[in-house]
Amino acid sequence: MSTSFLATELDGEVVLLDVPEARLIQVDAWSRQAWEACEGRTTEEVAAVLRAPAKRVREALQALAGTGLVSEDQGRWLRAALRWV
Amino acid sequence: MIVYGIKDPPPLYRILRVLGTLLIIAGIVLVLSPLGWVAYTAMAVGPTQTAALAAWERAATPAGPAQNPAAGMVVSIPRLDLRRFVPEGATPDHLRRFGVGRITWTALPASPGLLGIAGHRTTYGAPFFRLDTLRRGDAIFIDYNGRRYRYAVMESQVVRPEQMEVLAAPAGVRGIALVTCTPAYSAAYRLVVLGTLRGVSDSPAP
Repeated sequence: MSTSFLATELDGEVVLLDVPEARLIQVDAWSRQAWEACEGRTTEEVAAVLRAPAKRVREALQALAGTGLVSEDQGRWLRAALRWV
Repeated sequence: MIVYGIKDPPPLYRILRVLGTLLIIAGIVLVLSPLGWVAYTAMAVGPTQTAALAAWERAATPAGPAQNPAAGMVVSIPRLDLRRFVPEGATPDHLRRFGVGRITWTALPASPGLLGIAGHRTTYGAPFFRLDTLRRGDAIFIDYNGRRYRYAVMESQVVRPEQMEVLAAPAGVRGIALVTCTPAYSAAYRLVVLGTLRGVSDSPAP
């Protein structure tokens, strides 16, 4: 998992610069909530914390996983390290 | 969530970028190629013309009764600051090598009729680039066979390339016709500057 994300907050959203992959990732407010709540939890646990449908949470976390911001290990989500700027 | 690629644009974008770059290069080449061609041909004709002019001046002989067209002649136009060796024959090869050439079926300077000299307008040294600036009365000198023929410009005409009858002088007239392409950078028409013989003298020493 990449640990080279530079992050900053813009109007409630998070914008990340993935330096090794040379890309910008714009994380909307809902995905940000899922990302902040997911550390060490299962999808269902995150859904319970956010009081949101598990399907919606899974979609958000899978999208985040596609960028390398989170990864799933034995059903639990792990967050990539960020460096806030 | 939106991901923006910075380093790796989509394939279509990359193709368009390459295509755009190629088109820009092609455009630059297209714009510069005429200038390059002018420069290249000028470099090609310059040394040949200079050497021919020097050789002609070294071999210049006193005036004699016999005409020897193969030896060529020299045209001088003070207003254009022009002096060129004129080989016998306005063939493509001669025009490429010397920039000018005598039209063989026209009259020689010592004979009645018009002496016709063709020259490039924009390439191969562009000897006749400013031919259109000649005005009535301007002098044209031809050094040939040990004699200097002095002509005065009478008029200019723009004709179609096939209108070569303009080089046919009325009976008894002795003159000169300088022919080049017009407008500049186009071969659509021919600019013909016509002059009439004003005097003959011995050629000055080179």
